[in-house]
This record gives sequence, C-alpha cells and structure tokens, in this order.
Amino acid sequence: MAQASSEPEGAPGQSKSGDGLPVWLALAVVLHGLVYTFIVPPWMGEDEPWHMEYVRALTLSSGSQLVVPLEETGEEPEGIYLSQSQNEVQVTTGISPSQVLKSQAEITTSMQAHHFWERVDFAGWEHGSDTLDQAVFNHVETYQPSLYYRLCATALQLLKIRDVELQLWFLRGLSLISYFGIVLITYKIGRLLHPEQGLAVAAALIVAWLPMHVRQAAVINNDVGARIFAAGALWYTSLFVLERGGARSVLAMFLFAGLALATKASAVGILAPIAFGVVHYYARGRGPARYALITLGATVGCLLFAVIYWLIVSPGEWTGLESLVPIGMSDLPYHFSRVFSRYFFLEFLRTSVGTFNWYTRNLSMGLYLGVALVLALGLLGSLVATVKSKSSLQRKVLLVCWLAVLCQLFAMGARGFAAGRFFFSVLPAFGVLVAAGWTVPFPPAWRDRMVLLVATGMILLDGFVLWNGLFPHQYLEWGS
Amino acid sequence: MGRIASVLWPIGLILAGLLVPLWYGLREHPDLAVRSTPRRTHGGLIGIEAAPGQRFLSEGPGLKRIDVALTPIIQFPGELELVLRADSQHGEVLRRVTLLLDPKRRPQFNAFEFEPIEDSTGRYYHFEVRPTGGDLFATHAVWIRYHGNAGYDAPWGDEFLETQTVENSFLSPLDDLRAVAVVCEDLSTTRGPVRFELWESGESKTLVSVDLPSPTVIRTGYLFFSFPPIPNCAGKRFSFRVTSDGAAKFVGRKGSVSFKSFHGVPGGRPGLQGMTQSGEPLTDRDLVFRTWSSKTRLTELREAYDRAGWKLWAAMICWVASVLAISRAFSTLGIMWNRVPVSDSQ
Repeated sequence: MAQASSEPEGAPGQSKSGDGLPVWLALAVVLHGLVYTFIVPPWMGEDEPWHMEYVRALTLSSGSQLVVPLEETGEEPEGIYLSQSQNEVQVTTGISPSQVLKSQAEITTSMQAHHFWERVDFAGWEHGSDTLDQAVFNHVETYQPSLYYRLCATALQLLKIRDVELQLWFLRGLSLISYFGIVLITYKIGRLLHPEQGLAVAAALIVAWLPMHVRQAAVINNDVGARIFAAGALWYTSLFVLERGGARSVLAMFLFAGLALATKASAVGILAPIAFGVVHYYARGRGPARYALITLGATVGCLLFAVIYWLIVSPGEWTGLESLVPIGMSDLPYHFSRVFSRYFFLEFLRTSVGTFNWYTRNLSMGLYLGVALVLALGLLGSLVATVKSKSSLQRKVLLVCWLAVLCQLFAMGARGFAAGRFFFSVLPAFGVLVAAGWTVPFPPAWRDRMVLLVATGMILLDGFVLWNGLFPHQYLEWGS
Repeated sequence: MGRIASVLWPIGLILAGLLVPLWYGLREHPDLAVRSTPRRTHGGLIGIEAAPGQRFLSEGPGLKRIDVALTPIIQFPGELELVLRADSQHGEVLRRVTLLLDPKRRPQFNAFEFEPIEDSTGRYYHFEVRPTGGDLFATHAVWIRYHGNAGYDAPWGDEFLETQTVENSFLSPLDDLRAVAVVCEDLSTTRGPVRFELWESGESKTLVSVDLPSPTVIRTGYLFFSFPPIPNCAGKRFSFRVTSDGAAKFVGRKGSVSFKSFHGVPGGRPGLQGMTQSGEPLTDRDLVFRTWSSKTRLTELREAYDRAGWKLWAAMICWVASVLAISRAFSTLGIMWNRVPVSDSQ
C-alpha cells in the first residue's frame, strides 16, 4: 500500500497514525449514519416505543417530572386499571398509574402520527384507548438492566427535554454518536493489528456499512449502549495483550466490560478475550506485584459492581440476564440442537444483513446466503492469516478478536437466540477479522485492490438493502 | 487512467448502489393492503347463499389484480370465482375471474388477475368471492380483519355444543370491548333467530343484546356479534350467552363455547368500505385482501415523497455525499488507482 511504504519501520502496530480516523473517512461514516437517521421513521426500531417508555418512566421516578401526572391536572380518575404490562412498568419504576397511562398515551399519539400501524404487520388496531398494548399486547422492556435507560433519562432531565418526539430524536442522536464511536474503535483495533492502514479502513467500512448495524445508529435500544461499552472493552483488551497503556488500560478494560455487562448481558462475548489477556499476562511472567493487585482488584470490583447493581440497585431485574446467559442448564442441549438448525442459521443471517418493519419483511434468501459466503471467506482468510502470520501482523490482537467472536457465538447458541443484534456486541472484532481475511493473505501489491473491493462490496450491499428493501418497505408498502 | 478510474468509481457506486436499487425498489406496490398478522378469524366455508365480499376505493389507474387471503377448510382442490362490480354489490359486473385452489399450497394471498380497468382512480368497486359450478360451498374460507384488537381468546375447541344456549365468561384485558366472535360449526338464521346477550359478571343488568340479522349463514367459521364499544372495561369480568333455538351448532371445549373478544373504536382508512355478506354491508370488518393498479415508478416515487417528505431527499444526498467522502478518503490515503503518497497522520 502506498502509505505503508511511507511509514517508519518499527514495531508492528505502532504506527503514529493509529489514534484517529482519517477525516474524510470519519465524514463518510457520519454522513452514512445520518442516512439512516433520516430514512428510518420514528418508532421503527424494534421495541423502540417500549425502550422509550422505560426511559420516560425513569425520568419520572427520579423526581424530575417530564410528564405531568393526571393528579396534578385534576383529571385523575378513580380506580385506574392497569394491564399486566402497565403494572410491570409501574411497579418497576415506582411511578403512578396515571403517569404510566399518560406517558403511553403520548407515545401512542406520536406512533399514530408517524403511521406505525401502517408499517408493522402484526400491530393491532390503532383506534381506541391509547395504550402500548394496542400495538403489541403485554410487552415491556422494564425487565432489562436499567443502566442504559438511566443514562438516557439523566440526559433528558439535564437538558429538560419534555416533548416525546424531541426526546426520541435526542436519544437517536446518542445512538448515532455511539455508532461513530464503534466504527472509530474498530479502526483503531485494525491499526493495532497491522501497520497497513488499508486493513483498518476495510474493517471500519465493514462495521460502518453493514446495513443492520448502521440501522441501529438510528434507533433507541439498550443494545446500542451495550455495543459501545463492549467495543471500548475490546479496544483496551487489545492494548492489554500488547502490554500497552499500563494500569490505565487494565482499569479501562474492566470498567468498560462492567458497563457493557451491566447494560445488557448480551455483551458477554468480551469476557473470553479479557480472560485470555489476564492469563497471557501472567503466563509471561510480566506481572509486577502491583499489576497483579490492580488486575485482581478490578476483577473483583467488576464482579461486585455487577452483583450490587443487579441485586440492590435494580432488584427486579434478575430476568435481565435472560438475553444471553442460559437460565437453566437443562435448556442447553435443546438450545444447542437449535444452533445447527436451518432456522437458526437463516434467522441469524436475515437479522444481521437486512430485515424490515420490525423483522416482518425480508429480502431474498440468495442475498443472505451470498453475503454469508463472502463473510465466511473473509473469516477463512483470517484463519489463514492467524496461522501463517508474518511479523507485521499482531497475532495476539487477532486472537482477541477470534475469542470475542467465538465466545459470543457460543453464548448465543447457549441462550438459543439467533438475532443478529446480539452478535453486534463484538462486531468490531468480526469486522477486523473479515478485513484481515480479505487483505493480509494477499500479496502487498494486491491489498489496495482488496480494500477497494471490500469497500465496493459493502457500499453496494448497503445500497441494495437500503434503497431496494428498507425504503420501499417503510414508505411504499403500507397496510390499510 | 488512474484519475479517470477514481472518478468512475464513485459514479459507478452511485449508479449501482443508489439508482439501480431505487429503480427496482419503486416496483409496483399494492394500493390497499389489509393485513392481519397473525390471522385470527375466518368466515367459514364460502357459500353461495352468503358469499363474502368487500367494497373499496381504487387509489390508482388500471386496477388489474385483487389478492384475497384464503384458508382451506376442506382438504380437496376447489375452484373460486371473483366477481368485480362497479360501485357496490348492486353495481354492474365488470370482471369475472376463476381460480383453482390447491389445499396443499397455502400462499399468503390468492391472486385474481384480470384485464386492467383503465380509469379506476377514485372510483368505488365491490368484489365478491363465491363457489363455482353450482356448488353450495367452496373448499376455502376468507380471512377477516375485525376493526379491533384481539383481547381474550378461548381457542377453537374440539367438541360440538349441541345445546340451544351456549355461554362463557372472560376477563376483559383491554378497554372498549366492541365484539365477541364465537366459533360456529353450522348456523342459518332461516332455521330460527339467534340472540347474543352480554352482562358484567355478578350483575343482573344486560349490557348488550344483539339479534343476528337474517339471512346469516355460517359453516365452520367465526360469527361476530358487534355492539357499541364499552368504555373503561379493562379488568372487568363479562359473561355472555348465545341463544339459537336450534338454528346453530357451536364449537367449544369442556361445554363452553370458543370465542375471541375484540376491543377498540370504529375507524380506519376511508378507502375501505367494509365487508359484505349476502349483500349486507358489515362496516366493522374487512376481508384480508390487497388491490393492485398500474402505477408508474414516478407515481410511486411521488407517493413515497408524500410520506417521507424532505427526509427522503436528505437521506439520498447524505448517501451520495458519504460515497464521495469515501472516494476522497481513498484518494487521500492512497487507496486508489491514482496513488498519492501522503502521510497518514490526519
């Protein structure tokens, strides 16, 4: 690659430009995130109304009332009946029944204004009392760990944003920033892996242009929070295994891992590379006593944080573990038997590549299989690169990525969930692996072309999914 | 050569990644699409005496196809005729289409295609599906979307209730109770009147009393009793009774009739004028169906713009700009045909 020759000779992965995303590429990523911000209509992220409801309920429960309860307006009816899901919200967050109803009425009014019922095939009848049960009966998100929702609620409170649609756009803005952060981290890990900038660029493009991933730049979902924290953990783990950054890296690694797991248990894939990093560190006899203490302290702290958080701060949230941790060992054989089924594989593919209107509409199977083949070839190439690595490739970083991906896939299998968004917690690792597979095994003279090929493929895939799938399904094919 | 390639690359991407997919994305879409996912209630075997139909407003020119959602009740091949009329069920017959039905194939929708009706925009039409060849009943049933949310569900049972009166009770999960649909094996109002009564459990006062209009014929399907919505009823327990005096045989389980409750208030898209049966309008429900006209891509794009507004153009501009920014990034980084060796410390 051109700039590879201009780089100073030195230790692999220590290039001077590894700290920032090149400006034009950063601009392209932001613009691409904005595409989805504009094109994904309000409330069309999976379960978005319920995520928003949880955030709003927390803004109420902490005293700063962004929804005025009916008691204060003199409209409080006696003997309010709450459905099971409404009751769950009320009990979990401690807000009053009238606040639950008022908040839901504001959300459903906005959903009606934005044609939610025309777009989501399984949504019920929109005319009648304004509750979220109308859209999907008996659904809640309050069983999730509350960290993401508390952060969002705090931001809304600080900025005193009261209008439900302004709240929606503000929180979607946070998702866009998170998306940019994930792409940036992917690029940085790519730079650690190999001195040639092309690999990092290709990895960033894979992560940034994967349609279902960038779509999450435009929705409210706690997966967004889990992913950015997991990406941070992955970055610091990569530094740790390369013995860079000192104690700060170690602390940051555990901090981000703790935050990711406290946001959603679906970030469990980062545990394997961290464990590898710790074992590797001491196996090499590197550990001065103070590092050992720091590591031990951070591990215990992380565990304590998770336990205290789940047991005391959010006592009703034990079921938050449901997203990826197997609840009962007896379920494992059944779940693993599903992993090798056609259903599991296709569900994973369609929810990773492109499905629309709350997963109700799909693209052709040929496209899904084609994308799977290309990505699988990338992984195969990455395997070749791992085995036959040259001095320029940081095999430890590659190993960190492999462990994250495999651990995440294992966890998804153990829990029996095929949804691609769970896998996106380790998407930076996956992006780096595929990018390495499509560049490193090729002779240096070919690598520029391979990066171009990856970029071309990702842009065309995104264009097809966006303009031939998402756009017509959101704006043309409406139910009556 | 390199400079030309670096210009052609983004242009090619914009062509192949935006314009071509958009061209195919603007393919024909249905004008009306009544959905019900999952499909909950069907009307029973389509009979010659009580053929189901639907009145609707055509939103595009060249109306050329109507898809009807059907489910096989009897596992034999059958045949069904769609009769399309102008304006209403009493209008002039415009098209007749016959379709062979294979019970082994269960498409989402069964397509009835016909010669396009040129000036169909803004005009009302009515279609009816009926058995052919003098059969009293077809082998299939139409799916029905009632104007309400499904609430309580006592699933389709495995026994016929031979009694003249059937009862059941339920806890209303939602407000605005407005219909109860019971599972009926065989009903004909020519054999006698059918009455539905509903009251709040523990209370003696009857809240709702509905006499089924005559003629009504149902064979193995849902029979709807519709009434004005009951507000603030979520969490209340209701009981109901259907008295048929020998006119009907119901389906249930453990002696109680199978049924679903529906909740909501009237509403809906103006173009949908409701279902018909035996020529009688039933405006509180629609068939699950779609209509297709001969709209051009430009019309589709205009419709999308009406719905998306400025955000559609903003998204397109950002998409193009992002491709150009990548192209520029590649040139700057040297990842391009026209290599420009530069420092990568941006």
